[in-house]
Amino acid sequence: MYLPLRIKFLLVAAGVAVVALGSSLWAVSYQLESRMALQITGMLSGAESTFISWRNEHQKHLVAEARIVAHDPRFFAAVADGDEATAEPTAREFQAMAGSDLFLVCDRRGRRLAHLGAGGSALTFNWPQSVPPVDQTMRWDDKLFLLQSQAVTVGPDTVGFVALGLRVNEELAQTMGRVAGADVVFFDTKGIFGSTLSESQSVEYVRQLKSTTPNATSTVPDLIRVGGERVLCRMGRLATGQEACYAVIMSLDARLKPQIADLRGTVLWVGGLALLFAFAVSWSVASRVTARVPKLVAAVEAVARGNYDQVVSHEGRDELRTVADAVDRMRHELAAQIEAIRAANAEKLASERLAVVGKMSSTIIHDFKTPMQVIRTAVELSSGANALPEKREKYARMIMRELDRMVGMAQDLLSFARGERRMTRTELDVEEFMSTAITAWRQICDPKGIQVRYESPLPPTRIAIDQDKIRRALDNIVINAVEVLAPGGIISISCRREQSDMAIRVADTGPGIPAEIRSLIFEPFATFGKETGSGLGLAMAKKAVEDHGGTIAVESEPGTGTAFTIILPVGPPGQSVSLNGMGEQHHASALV
Amino acid sequence: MQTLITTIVLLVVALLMDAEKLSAAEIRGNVALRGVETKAPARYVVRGQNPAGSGTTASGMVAVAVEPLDSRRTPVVTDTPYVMAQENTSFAPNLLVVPVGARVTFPNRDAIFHNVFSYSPPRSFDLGRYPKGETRTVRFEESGIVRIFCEIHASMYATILVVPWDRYQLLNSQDGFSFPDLPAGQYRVVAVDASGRRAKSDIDLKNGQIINVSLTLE
Repeated sequence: MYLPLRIKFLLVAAGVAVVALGSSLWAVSYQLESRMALQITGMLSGAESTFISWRNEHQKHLVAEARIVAHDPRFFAAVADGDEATAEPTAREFQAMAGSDLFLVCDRRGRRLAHLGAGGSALTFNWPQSVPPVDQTMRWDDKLFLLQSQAVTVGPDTVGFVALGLRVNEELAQTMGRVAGADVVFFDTKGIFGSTLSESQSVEYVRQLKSTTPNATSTVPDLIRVGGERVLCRMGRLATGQEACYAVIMSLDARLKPQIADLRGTVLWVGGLALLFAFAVSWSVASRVTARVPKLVAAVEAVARGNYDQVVSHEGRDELRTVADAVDRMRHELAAQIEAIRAANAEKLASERLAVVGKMSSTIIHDFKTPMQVIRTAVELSSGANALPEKREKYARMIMRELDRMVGMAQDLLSFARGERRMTRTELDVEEFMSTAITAWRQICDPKGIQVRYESPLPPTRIAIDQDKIRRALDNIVINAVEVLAPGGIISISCRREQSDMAIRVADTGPGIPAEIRSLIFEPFATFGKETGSGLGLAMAKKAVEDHGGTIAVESEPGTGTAFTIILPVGPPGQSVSLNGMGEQHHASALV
Repeated sequence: MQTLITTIVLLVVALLMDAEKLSAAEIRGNVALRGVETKAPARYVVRGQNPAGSGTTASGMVAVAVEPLDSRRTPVVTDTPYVMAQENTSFAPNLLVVPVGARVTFPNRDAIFHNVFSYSPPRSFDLGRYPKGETRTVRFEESGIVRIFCEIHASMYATILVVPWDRYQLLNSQDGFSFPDLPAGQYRVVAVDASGRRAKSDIDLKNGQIINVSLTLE
């Protein structure tokens, strides 16, 4: 899948930003949580201390009140007789003064003389005579009191006890909760007496708390879970050795969650901005980098096309610059190498040509010998005294023909040796051109018993070609066929139109060309199975056809025959092309 | 010493023989404080009463009285009032036995104010504050224990035992008591000390019978 670098950069930036954001959020949350937990632990300890000192203050107050009451002569006078009727009104008076929730008076035997503030049922209170209960909690019906008692003495004699009680209830919980800045629950094994929490919460908390034993020596608060909420809790006895407990409670989650949410909000805000910034930066950086890529591609493609002059831009200072520099170095080196190859090729071509000429010389001289022999014989015969004038004319024509042939051969040779391409196109009618050629070929073939068939389903077509060259190419193919055909052989020639091309096909019924040399037959000086010939025939034919922008191909089946197909583009009429700009008058002046 | 003991024993024997001869009964006994060991009952009898100044401020003093339960006997009331003074931020004496109908004066001999009062059911009163040299008088019409306090000074306390009969004794708690020449009948022996600790015992006394009573103050 094609994914532009820009998008990749963007995705990477987004990924990195999200991971960074997530991990930092986690880390900060974790840190905050542990710090907050520590802080809340500290707060809870503080709250408990406040709670305890507040409770102690209350107890001290009770103790002081009890002492004042017990030492008041009017009070102990009322108690001294152990008489309920005497004690009751005095006790009422003193309770109003002390302002305590519970006011309890007993005689020296623990018999109750007065109880105020507890209401309800009669108090079944077994007051020990020897040990006055100091600093204790007491349950009365469903009420719980924090109690401070004091012996009432007259001289050396203890006449009774007075106890002042602080009611442990909802109101006290609320007040203590406010003072401590935490939730407070009072409870014992039988029930809850006061709580700043809702009833259901209290019940759940107490259920959890009962499973833990109050541990006054522990400095670490208990961490309990109530309804999935983490709660820090300190609990202890309301009075030493008593059953009733208090619990000071702080919800960790309730305090943590808003903080965490706050933090999360901030981090997400900042993170979002950072993400946008990362996007912008990565986009701009990627754009800058990738903007140079099309230039680089253009430069490389120019080199691919063979244009070694386009300088690759040297922008930026990064890996892309390194690539650009490398491409530029490659361009330089390629240019140099290609220059060197060209030079070497030209040199090689020249030397090859010379070598070919040298190699040809013997063949050519041999070829030239025959026409020269003919000319010499014709000259001898025509210069003879008894030569008839019509004979002389005949010999003269013979000489002319042989000379033309030699000139042609020389010209071919020269052209090939020089590697020149000279062409003069003439617009002509294909049918006319072909019928002339067929007539000539039949004159050669008829005496040898070879049949020339011609077939042309072509509509009247005009084509611009160098007719000499094409004729010579066709001649070469036909002569080759004639040379390999036995009497009775057939040469089939046909012309077809294939779209904008014209195809000329020359097929024989000869022995065919072996597969191994089929690819070599268009090479110069490749003569196979032929006694005569310069070895240039097919090479020249190929060259002539290619000069016209056409192609030549061979099909051969050993034992069945060979077929050459020349395909020529049907060019626009009246076009004359001279590729090398060589004039018509340029003929071979000298070869040897 | 030995001579003295012999003399006492002889005296007691002579008295017993005399009592038997009169066919009169007797209650004797001792008073103990809870947790305090008491001596064996004394072998001598304290007779008669001390109409004036029959109080004491010494600690360890106990007032013991015998009250008939079946019949009321009017005690002899002297015109002379009994005295319970306030001296050195204490009552002096702090234990007093008075017959029903007796008057008690409470003179303030201290340089500071005192406020004598009592919430006790037999006689509840409040004399208010008065300075040195002044006095207040209270008449006690009902028998029983009356506890006296000062509303200003918590350390001050006293007890007055109001008796319906003339048989009572003030004695050291270590000593025994004895009430001879009692006619047969039902009695209550009451003991109290200054701080109000008290004890009682009901007795059915037959002719010629001698009953030993052990009382423990509580």
